[in-house]
Amino acid sequence: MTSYGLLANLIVDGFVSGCIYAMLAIGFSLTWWVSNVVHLAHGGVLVAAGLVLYLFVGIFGVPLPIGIAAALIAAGVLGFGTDRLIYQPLKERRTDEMGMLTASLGALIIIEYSLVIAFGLDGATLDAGAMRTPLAPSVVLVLDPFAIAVVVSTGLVFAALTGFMHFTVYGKRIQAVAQNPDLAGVLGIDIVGVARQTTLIAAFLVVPAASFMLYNTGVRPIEALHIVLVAAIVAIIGGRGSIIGALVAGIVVGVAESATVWYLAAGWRLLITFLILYAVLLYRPHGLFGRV
Amino acid sequence: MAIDLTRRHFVSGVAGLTTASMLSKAAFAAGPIDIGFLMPLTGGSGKLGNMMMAGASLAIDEINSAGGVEGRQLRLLPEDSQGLARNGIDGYRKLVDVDGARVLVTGWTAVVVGVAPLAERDGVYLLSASTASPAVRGISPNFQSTWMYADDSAKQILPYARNVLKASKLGILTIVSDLGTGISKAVHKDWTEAGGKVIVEETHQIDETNFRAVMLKMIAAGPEAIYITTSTGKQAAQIVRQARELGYQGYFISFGAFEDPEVLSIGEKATKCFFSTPAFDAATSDVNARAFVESFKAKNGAPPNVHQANHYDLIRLYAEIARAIAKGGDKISADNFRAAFKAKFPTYEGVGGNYAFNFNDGSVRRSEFVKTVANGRFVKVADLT
Repeated sequence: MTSYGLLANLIVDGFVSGCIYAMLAIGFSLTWWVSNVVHLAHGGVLVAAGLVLYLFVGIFGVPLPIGIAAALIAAGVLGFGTDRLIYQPLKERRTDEMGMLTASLGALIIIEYSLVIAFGLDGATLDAGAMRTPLAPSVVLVLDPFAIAVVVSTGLVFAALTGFMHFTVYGKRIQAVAQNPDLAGVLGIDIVGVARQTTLIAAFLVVPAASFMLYNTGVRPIEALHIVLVAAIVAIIGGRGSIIGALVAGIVVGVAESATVWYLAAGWRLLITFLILYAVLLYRPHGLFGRV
Repeated sequence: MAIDLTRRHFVSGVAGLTTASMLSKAAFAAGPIDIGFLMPLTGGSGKLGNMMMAGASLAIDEINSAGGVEGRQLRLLPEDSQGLARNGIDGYRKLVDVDGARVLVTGWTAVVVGVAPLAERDGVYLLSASTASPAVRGISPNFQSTWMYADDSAKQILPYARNVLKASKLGILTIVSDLGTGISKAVHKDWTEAGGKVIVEETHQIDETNFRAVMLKMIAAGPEAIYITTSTGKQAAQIVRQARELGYQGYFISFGAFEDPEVLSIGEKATKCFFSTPAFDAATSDVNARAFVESFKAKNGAPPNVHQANHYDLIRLYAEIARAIAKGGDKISADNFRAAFKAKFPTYEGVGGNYAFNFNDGSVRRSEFVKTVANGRFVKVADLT
């Protein structure tokens, strides 16, 4: 493989990783935008969804669609429960941002430790099997059916979310609450209900990312904080609540991380992520697609 | 308040104290001999630590049912270090200060580095069958390993890779840790001296799970074999699986830590992996080793692996040294233990092969095998001497 062939492979691989980053970031970004909550427990919800999928598919041996349905239910219950039991009661007591952040961190720790007790620290990985056979090994080594599934799924998820936000009354209510909650309240929109719906949507949105992670690098309970850190970085770079922003930022981070390996040791990958974050905060503090 | 101390009071007091002291000594002599087991029992390495404890526990059971050590029962005192220095030091304090253990079985570099200075100060002797890092070489006169340091072990597999596997172009994937860099340096030096060429060297973080980018870079260089230095079976399995998914057909070579059930979980992708490991074979025909395998299977329902054999041997060796000390009429202390160990057991033959100890730097030379993965099992393919 030539040097430029390697670079091409790294870019394609980074693009695929970036799609997963985008999918794990979009739910975090939406919750942050609509509910004004830095939803750290999002990482725990994602790991829980991945492990439930593993339980059903890897242990019980049920077909993948049933496993995904179980993961959706688990993520929904956890996301909804976090909002109903932690965020909403604190909001009603007018808890400040630092208090909400601390509560969210507490929720993450509770979820993480519960998962460790239930599944152990090692986490789980499933083998993608033939889905990981390169389609054209002489051209692009990393292009396989799994990579295509990731990219196609990402496209579908983001297209569906964009459609939902712009062409349904529920989506428009979410936008209204995010942009001006006081005015939305005056217009009779149930702000608490919208926040709850958003948390639920964010929870469902982790399932594709959790599924691909399970078949790619595996999911481990102790990675929950790292996952939400990546989600937060992508959300900040993309811009709070921006769907296209999350997609673009995820791909930029994924490609940059992967391409870094072309000229630096792999250990330096995280450096490039933080350099991008720093540059964006310096020149576009509201993110690439964020609204002032 | 004044105390009227008469001669009668004084004499009876001294007599009482002497009697109490004698009773206490008698009770101590008849009580169990405690062995601290400061190992990861939870956390990322918890599975491996518990696995190792199964080997140690079997040895304890067998020794105790045969009458113990000069009539005293052995008692294993487990403390969970999670493989972390801070937890290790906490566990050490509990074992030494509260339980009064004078000899500890321990492992994992961070823990050994953390507790070795304390052991030297407190007069505690440390034994390890699970510390592969050359960073602990010579760390303390109170530390002795029964598991070959990885740089020594690495040297054992390299001639096999050169001469039998016919590999010449090597890649080295180094985990960013003292263990990884120690192995990497040793492998680089020995491979070059053996006439091979190291064509690519890369690193990865200790908690990395995505190796695709780094493997792409390594594969692009065209190595015939890749040496992996991680000591975590789960990570080794991830590296091999992801490299195979990228179409890498070459060999993977490694050291004893590779023998982990996690590696078997990746199925066919684990073929063409070779590693050096202490000479224990569950399918052995050696009488003693066979008896160990059968006892272990009877107790645990599955054959033992090399880590269990190592810890079985370690406790057996401990009991022999403790017996030698007891016969000499001494109590177990770090100094007595070290002296008896050096005098009586410079070499040892256990179910895990032959051990030749180097008391100057705490290392050991062991007879080793080359193993590979075939039909979902770790299989011996060659002897290394």
